[in-house]
Amino acid sequence: MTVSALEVRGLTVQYEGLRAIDSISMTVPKGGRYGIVGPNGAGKTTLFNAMTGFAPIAAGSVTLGGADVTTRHPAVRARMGLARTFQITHLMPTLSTFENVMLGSLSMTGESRSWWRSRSSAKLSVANTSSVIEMLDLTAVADTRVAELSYGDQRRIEIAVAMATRPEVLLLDEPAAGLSAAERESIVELLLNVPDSLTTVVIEHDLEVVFALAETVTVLDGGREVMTGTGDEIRNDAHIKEIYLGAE
Amino acid sequence: MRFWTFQVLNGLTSGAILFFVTVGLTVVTGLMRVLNLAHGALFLVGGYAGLATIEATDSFVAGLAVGALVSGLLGFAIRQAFATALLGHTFHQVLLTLGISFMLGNGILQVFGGTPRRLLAPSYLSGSVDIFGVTYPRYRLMLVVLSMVAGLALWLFWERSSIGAMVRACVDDRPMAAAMGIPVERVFSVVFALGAALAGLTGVMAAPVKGLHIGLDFEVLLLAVIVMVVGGMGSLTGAFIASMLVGMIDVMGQVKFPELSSLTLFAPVILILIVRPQGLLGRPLA
Amino acid sequence: MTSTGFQRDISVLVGGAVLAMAPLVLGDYWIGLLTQALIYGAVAAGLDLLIGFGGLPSLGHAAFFGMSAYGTAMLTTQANIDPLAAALISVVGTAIVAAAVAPFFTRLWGLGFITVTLAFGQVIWGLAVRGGSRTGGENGIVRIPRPKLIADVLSTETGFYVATVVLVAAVLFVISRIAHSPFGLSLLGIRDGEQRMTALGYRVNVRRSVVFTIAATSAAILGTWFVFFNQFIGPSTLEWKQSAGFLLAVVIGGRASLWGPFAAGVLLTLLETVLTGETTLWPMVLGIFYVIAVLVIPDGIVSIRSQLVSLVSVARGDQK
Repeated sequence: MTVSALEVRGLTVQYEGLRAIDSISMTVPKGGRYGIVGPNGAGKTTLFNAMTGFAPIAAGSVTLGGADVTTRHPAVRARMGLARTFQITHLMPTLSTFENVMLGSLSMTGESRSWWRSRSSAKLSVANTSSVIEMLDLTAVADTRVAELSYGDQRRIEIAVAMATRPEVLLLDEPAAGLSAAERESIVELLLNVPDSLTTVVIEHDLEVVFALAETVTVLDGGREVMTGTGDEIRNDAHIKEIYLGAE
Repeated sequence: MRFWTFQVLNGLTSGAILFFVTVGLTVVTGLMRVLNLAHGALFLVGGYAGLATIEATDSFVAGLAVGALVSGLLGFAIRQAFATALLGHTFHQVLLTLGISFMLGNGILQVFGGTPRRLLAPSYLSGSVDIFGVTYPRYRLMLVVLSMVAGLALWLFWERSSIGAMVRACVDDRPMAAAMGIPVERVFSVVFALGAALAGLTGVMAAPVKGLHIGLDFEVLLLAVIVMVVGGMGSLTGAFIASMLVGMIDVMGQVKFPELSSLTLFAPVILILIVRPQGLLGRPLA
Repeated sequence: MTSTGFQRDISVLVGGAVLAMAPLVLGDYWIGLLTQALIYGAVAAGLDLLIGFGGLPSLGHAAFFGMSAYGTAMLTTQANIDPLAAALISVVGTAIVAAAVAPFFTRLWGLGFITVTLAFGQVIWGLAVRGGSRTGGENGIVRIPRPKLIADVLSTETGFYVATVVLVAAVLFVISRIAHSPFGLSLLGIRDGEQRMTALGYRVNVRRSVVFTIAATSAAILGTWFVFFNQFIGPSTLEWKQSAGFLLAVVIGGRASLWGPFAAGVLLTLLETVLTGETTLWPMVLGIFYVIAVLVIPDGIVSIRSQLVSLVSVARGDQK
């Protein structure tokens, strides 16, 4: 019985009388590509927040690579290999693309502790940063301040920063939202080509992106898990169609 | 026993003054998330303006009115002139209001000179009263009573009136208040100006007790900050309770442990900020 | 920050060498003034590490400057401890205090942090003012001895000045290296995007506490040196207005530029000393500086250069 990459059991998050997510259970296998869909307000981002430690857990558990992380600080979970992107871009606006991604690399290599030598002497981090930037096609804007870049570039940098930590599990919160068709395609392309060792979980509103990427999909609605299955199963389920059409 | 009754009354007087000064500060800070470090200067400017008026007209009431008016107008002008800067970075607010307070304070020095000034209570409120077994100045008692009356009135206004509800809405959730059609900007301007006016009024009111001297602006400001933090930013009830507490501690502290007075006042501030940042009843400063 | 590390290190050395030659042209009075100005400038640079890089606006920095100064003063005049040993004890002691309070203070931010550092500064100031015979109360402590270094170089104004240039250059050098290291980058990251940094695995509060302690320690070192220079310490050095002055230097100079706050600190100190002798209007002038700093150059004098550059290129039609 292999250990799953990420698992939640009976997870519940409660805010002041509102149950944002209610008893959700999910198992993400190692190396898998998992999708989470559902109408607005279904609790998708809250689920990510609970998994990564940014939302208080009222009940249930979160397990990362077999270890229970339910009560662990988000920074600890990150160091254990759990990386994420945010739905609203969370970057450092006054720093350049390179510096943003560099911060991810530095964390992973441990060179972030270096306080006397210059940044460029953190060789491992620099190399990692360069390769991630290249992978995400950001070389042209590497030295530009993030605040001055387009939304599309920023979304890619958001992914680059997370990937720079060479995580075990990567949670992507609506990576393609607001992007042009071409940009969306390149993101899908990228995610299809990540190494098998990396487990990815994607929240997306765009069903086509999810079905192209994910092997297994969970549908959330009103904080509850409605259905889990393969892309085809979900696509063809009448009840699911109703949820989406009804909500939109 | 009589000694302690006297000290308690002193503490209440101090608390009353603090309450009047802090009300404006705590509401403005809670509302606008702006720490107005010029608040003490507005207190002092009002006080001196009132002093000048009383010396010219012999009317205490006129002095009160002028004090409130001058500071209120200044407050309004400050808010209008620096509206965008005041809502920016925290240190910009700190520096801006600090700069204004230096300018105002030095302005007072240039106009009135450096000798401390005394103001006598109006004749109809002078003299002493026998209360709780001690003889206590009538004026101070009036301040204590007034603080309770004003406290109650403000509380009623705050909790029960529709304008009060509007202001509370802005304190609790600014974007929501704006979405509900509340003219947030105008609320800010009015509250800021009223808070400043109240500070100026208090400057005159407190003058018979505290006198007027250069440097009083910052003494008052620091005490007001303590009260605001202890009581909780944005909370009227908190400001009242904290004012009385701090007033008591300040007076008792000076009597019993004069060497530690700064410690007794500021150490609780540090503890509260760390352990219970929202103070007794308010919102956290952070 | 476009200059390379090497360029930066060299400019500190060159700047230091130039400053060290000042005694050739200036008299003792100005040399003394300059000594004090350099010390205060360096304090501002250390504070920039906390404010500009760390994003923590402190109104209590003077407390650490003064704590170490008082410690040195008390140990040398009352316990008759050798000045250098007293300096070491005071600096280490202050650093320990800073490290002890840092984790608690840095959990707050913005308005809360400002207030707690203000309160802390007042507590320390209060202890100095009411310390009775130990701290000299309002009158402070006098006749503090200077350390005896090689050739008794510290006994003359010029000698002390040159030693100050060396010390200040060394402090700036270290601060600069820290700022431009990966650790320094992580501070900028935390300043700009705390949540993001946490999600990347950084222990945000630990880093904040570390930079708080470093800044406080640099202030402590300079405070001790100041008390050797001045040979007198009084409670006004610990006043929160002093902290506000350092804060002003950081903002006027340009946050996170280090040399901007240093230059601003030097200039403001010179200006204050000169003006206070001439007129009672210094607080008014200072107040105007504060207002101008916020309204006209919120990004500090450092930004003026880049603003001028972009103005020029707009005029030339390079940019729209």
